Amino acid sequence: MRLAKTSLGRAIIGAIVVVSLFGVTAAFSGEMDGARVFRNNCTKCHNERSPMEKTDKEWRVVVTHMRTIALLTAKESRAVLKYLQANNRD
Amino acid sequence: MKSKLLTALILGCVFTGLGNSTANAQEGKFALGGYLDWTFTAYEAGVKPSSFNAFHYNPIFLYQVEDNILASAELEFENGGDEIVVEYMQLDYIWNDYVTFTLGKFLVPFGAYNRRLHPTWIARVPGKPLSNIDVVPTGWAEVGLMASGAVGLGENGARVNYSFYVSNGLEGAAGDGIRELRKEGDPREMNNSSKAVGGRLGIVPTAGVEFGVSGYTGKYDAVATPVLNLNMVGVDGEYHYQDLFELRGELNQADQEITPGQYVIKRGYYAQAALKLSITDNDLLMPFELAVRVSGQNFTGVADDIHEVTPTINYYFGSTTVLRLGYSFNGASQGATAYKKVDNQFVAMFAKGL
Repeated sequence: MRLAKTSLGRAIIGAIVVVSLFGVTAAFSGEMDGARVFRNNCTKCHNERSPMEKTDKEWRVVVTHMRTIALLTAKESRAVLKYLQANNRD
Repeated sequence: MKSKLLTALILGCVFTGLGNSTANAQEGKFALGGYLDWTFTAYEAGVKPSSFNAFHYNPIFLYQVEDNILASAELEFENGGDEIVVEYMQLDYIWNDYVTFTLGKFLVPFGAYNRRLHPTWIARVPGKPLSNIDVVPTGWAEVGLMASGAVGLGENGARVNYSFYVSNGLEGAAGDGIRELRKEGDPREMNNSSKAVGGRLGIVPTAGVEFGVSGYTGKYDAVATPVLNLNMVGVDGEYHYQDLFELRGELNQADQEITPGQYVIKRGYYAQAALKLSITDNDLLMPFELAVRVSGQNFTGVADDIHEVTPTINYYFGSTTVLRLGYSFNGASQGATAYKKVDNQFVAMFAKGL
């Protein structure tokens, strides 16, 4: 398993191109169920956290952070944020 | 130590100072997270003294600079404060729906354990799997540039995700243990001019299932013109039934060049299952979870093979507060001869997510 640096580099560039091209064509319409997205993804790593724990603005910051950690799609992260903000005290 | 304290002080001032000096303008741009834990460890044969440990206090500071720019940093106070390091400190720039660029010091996306699962309030079993200590390190952060993102594949939660990076890379002396190559706590100003590249590609075919493949390649000897290769490859997978049951694991391999042309192959594995007893609908059992981890490492004859089985009972006081009671049965083999190690250990851990 000696990965040639050049081969891996090409593979990385190729993967980014493929994913980017795919992204352009992978536009799905319709609104996602934020509660379902939240339960399907966030609880894969940790127990479910209560929407009441944070304010609307704090959830915006936290969800931006978790989008990059959990690698949610943009649409999924927007749905999760909407769910959390709709179910806290704000 | 002074530099570490200074770093902590500067970070604290930056975050609290920004908040105080421009309170109105900054309102709602900050959030705090992180975790802390306490442990008690006792060894079966008394080969080491039993001990308490204020193991981790890791606050995470998040600052939303712009709608699409996030600054984040995790400070790690470990072992009662004997170790103070910046676990990561990064800037995320969300370029578009599919690509986010991360600059700075970031946790390496190799498998799922290092980047997502190692915090003690999240990991279901105390201690680290043997595949994620000296084969692929945990708490492994790199300084560099990363591109990551995800693309949805339908309405059932299917998606593809990716993370690819170029970084300074692991560095140390020829033959050093891979965990030591992280140089945790160092500023990561490298002697080695060669850059490392790596990444992970993940596939979520449906909600609750994910598979990933990871790779890393770089030269690790700490000289201006390095020659010794360090290549790693890994696969990971997980299955979840609601939030009641999970099964996950990783297979990792590192090929470390010790002298030019001579490699040591290091392999590791772990599998872990966890079942929440809330599945029974019994009020008494509701807060409990049963978990077990099996892991091992094989250094292909350079060192003894070692393995462990750690059954664990978790009691949740709340969704982010847990007491874990685990017992690690540790074993080893030398060539074809298996033997029982005498350092079986009991671990009690209290962990809290912040």
